[in-house]
Amino acid sequence: MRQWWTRFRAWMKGRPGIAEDLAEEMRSNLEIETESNIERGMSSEQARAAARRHFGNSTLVAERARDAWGFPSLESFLNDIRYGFRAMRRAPAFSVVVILTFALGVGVNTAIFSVVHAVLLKPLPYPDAERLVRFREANAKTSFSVSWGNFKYWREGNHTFEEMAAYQFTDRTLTGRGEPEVTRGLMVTAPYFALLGMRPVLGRLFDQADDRPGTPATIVLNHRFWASQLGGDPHIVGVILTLNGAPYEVTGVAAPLWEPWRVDYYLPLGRAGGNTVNRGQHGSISALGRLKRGVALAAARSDLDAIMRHLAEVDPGPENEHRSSGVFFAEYSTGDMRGTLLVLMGSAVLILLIACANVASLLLARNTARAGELAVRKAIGAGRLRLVRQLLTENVVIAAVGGAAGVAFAYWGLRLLIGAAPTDIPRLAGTTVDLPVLLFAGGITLAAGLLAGLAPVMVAGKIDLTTALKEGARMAGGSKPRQALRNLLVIAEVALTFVLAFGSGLLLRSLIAAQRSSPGFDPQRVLAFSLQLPSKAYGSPEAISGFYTRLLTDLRRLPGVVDANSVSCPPGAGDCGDWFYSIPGRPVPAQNEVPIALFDSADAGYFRMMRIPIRQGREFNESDGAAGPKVAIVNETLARAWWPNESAVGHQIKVGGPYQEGGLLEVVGVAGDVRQFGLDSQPSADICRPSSQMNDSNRTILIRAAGDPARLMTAVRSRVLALDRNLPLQQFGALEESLGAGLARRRFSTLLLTLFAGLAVMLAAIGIYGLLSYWVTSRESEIALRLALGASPSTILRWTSFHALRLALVGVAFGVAGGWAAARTLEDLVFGIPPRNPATMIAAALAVMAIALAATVVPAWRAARVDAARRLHYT
Amino acid sequence: MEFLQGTLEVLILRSLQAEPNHAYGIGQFLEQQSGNEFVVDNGSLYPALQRLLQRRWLTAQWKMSPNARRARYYRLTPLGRKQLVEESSKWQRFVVAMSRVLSPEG
Repeated sequence: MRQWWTRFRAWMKGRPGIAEDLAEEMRSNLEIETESNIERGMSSEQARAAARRHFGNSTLVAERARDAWGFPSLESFLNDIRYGFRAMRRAPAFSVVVILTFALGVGVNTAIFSVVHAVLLKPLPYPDAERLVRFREANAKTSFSVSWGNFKYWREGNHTFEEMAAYQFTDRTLTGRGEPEVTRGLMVTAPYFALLGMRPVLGRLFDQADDRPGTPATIVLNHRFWASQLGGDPHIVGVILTLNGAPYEVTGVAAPLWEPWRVDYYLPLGRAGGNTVNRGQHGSISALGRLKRGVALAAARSDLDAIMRHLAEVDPGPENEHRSSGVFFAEYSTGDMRGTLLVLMGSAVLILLIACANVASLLLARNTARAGELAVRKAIGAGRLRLVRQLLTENVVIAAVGGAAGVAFAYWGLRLLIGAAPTDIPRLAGTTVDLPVLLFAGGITLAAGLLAGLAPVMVAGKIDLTTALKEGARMAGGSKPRQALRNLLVIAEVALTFVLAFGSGLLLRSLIAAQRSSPGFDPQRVLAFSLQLPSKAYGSPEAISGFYTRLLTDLRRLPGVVDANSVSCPPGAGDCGDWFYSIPGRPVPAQNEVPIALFDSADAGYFRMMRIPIRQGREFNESDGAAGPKVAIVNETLARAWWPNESAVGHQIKVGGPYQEGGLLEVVGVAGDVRQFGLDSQPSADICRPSSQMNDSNRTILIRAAGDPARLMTAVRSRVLALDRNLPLQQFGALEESLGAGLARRRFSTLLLTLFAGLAVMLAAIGIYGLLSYWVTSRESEIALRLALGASPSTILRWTSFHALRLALVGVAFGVAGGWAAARTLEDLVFGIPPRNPATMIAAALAVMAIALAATVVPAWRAARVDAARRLHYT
Repeated sequence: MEFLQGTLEVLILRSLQAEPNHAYGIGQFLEQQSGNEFVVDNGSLYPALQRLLQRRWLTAQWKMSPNARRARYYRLTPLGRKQLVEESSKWQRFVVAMSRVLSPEG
């Protein structure tokens, strides 16, 4: 250690001192030896010469002695870097191509990685975020909300959590501050703030004392909501806000903090729900907890499961079979982007590999051209290892320049990427090229430089001195192992390109399939908006149905309106609520196997207006009134599941299943399936009941227009406000647009993967072109000979193309194997076709082969035009 | 005869036991004492001297030689002296052990 330090100090102080001392010492010792030689009777010339001879190679002695003081490997490394830059300047065209190739590979990877890092890898901005978990109840089939009762037992009885909070979303209408506005609140128990490390910027956050029944109503504002909607009012603390007609006193404003959801304010959940004692009473509560240090997720799950089992014994009920289900909060909040991003990252890595293969082939060609130079270096005493190190360093230097360009490229490309990305990807907006991303870029640059340099260097290490010195580049390049290596590189490039082309082909076809897939209804020229009738003003079923009947009558009278109907859940809008059901007369399902369906309600004219076909029975009509028999229309998926070979009409459905309360419904009709979870989803079981028997206060109004629905918007809004000027219209717009927006993520990932495939094809084409040109160059003599012996240029053309075609075919064969394996990772993203779709595979193969052949055109043509006489004359 | 790995350094230390000397003198001393069995290569001697300086077993000083020539003299430090004692006993044991093994029994 100390020795290193003295060396380092000497190195830092600079060599001159040591070098001068050493030179003088050597000179003086030479003099001393000369003198002693003279004393022994030699002439002064003789004495000097003998002393010199005896002393040896003084340069070498000095160098080796100096090395004792320095870091010889570091210095030769720096030398190699200097060589690298010199070599780069000597072959500018070659360098530019290699640098651009590296820049492309590293740039794409850096850009994608920075997204992966920001969205998936970066820890959430909470204290000990890696121990935050989200828990809900679950049975064997699915997970659902935790009831307040069970949550309380979890919080008090667990041994694995440091702290636990409950949260639940709530939509409320804010009035008394300009236009009425629907706002989204998060009802939380007090520990929520501590779990996320949230602090107030004004006033205080609520605590346990505010979070129990009977306390005055308080509200904590989200920073964004306070700043944008309430004008950042510095005197907001103490102000009363009216939500759904009830007063809430502002206690504070929370400091800005990223959350996986967008909420406007926080309300105490314990104050609203604290009196619930029934364990079976579910709202839509989830639990957020921080695990104790060292506790695994599975351990926490079995801890809560034990509580649930114990409760099933002491307080039996419909909840008996319920257990817990938990995920890490980080995983939950990044959600379903994981698969897409990992596929994109994988594709980016494939691009980098193709870039490496390209560079490797270029280097191979260049090092062959440099065989003479390398042989000379070896002849004057450079060791093989030294030579290999020098070549590798050169490659890394050029890779580093390319990598730096790649980072710049990524920095610029990232803006485009974020701009093109759907806005609902969590944390995407925070993507930057930061330190971890730069480290990643540095790492892959180094790896790529070494990888690309490996093959050529391995060959260079084996340079046969005599051949290389005597025959020069041309002969050295034609040797068998080198040619095999080059062929291997072409095969690898073709294979990798095929995998990317195949993957992007699958996604493209899925996108087309999704865009063409029928949603199950006709969304054209349909205007939609949602209303929430506050319970204060609309307390009775009569008030609710009265309002909607009047509104719909008014709307239908508007000029340009074909029809208008209300539903509880607009088609294609996702999950608006599901519940248990069972079929009387069928075997009673076990408690944790009770089937679940989407439950919604619609007006009588809804199916006809949306052009959802009625397959069996009838649609709702006037006889399905509040006093009439309770009826339902099920969708085909549900009907097929229970009555595959008979009509569903006339059968009964028990709401809530055998273990929950609920009435009986008679199936009066079967409607066509609707893709409720988006165009690229599969239909799920659905039970629809007439609005007149449900009287939902929250509904979506659908209006079919004769012309452009956008032109109706002003008139529609004024009709609503004429009935109730405190009622905000939510999600007001054309249904078609919101459906199409559901495909934004699919469009994004397809766009990126297609872009990648395009890059891959371009790189591969350049690579194949380069390799084949080289192949032709190194075979010019052979070609000349063949021509001289009577082969026609077209024979040569065929021969050359056939060589390329053979390599491409082998590459595609490997690619098909790779694609077959890779298809599994794409399974979740593929829609409408099987992931191992042979047609797509054939199309990708043909495309890649065509590119490969196109890349061979110029070299093959050159081969056919070799001037036999001249060529043979020169050799 | 080539030097065995690590032997040159202890031999240099030994050559300076009696008095300071310059590089040429050290080489001469080793060749003569070994009965001209050892050939001291300057390409090994100079780096070895530098290493010993680094370890602070030697110090170097420019002085006048007996025939009035400026020369760089090396001198043992106390640390170097200690090292010499340790190393010589180690080598002596090594030599005894070697000859025991190599010489015929009896």
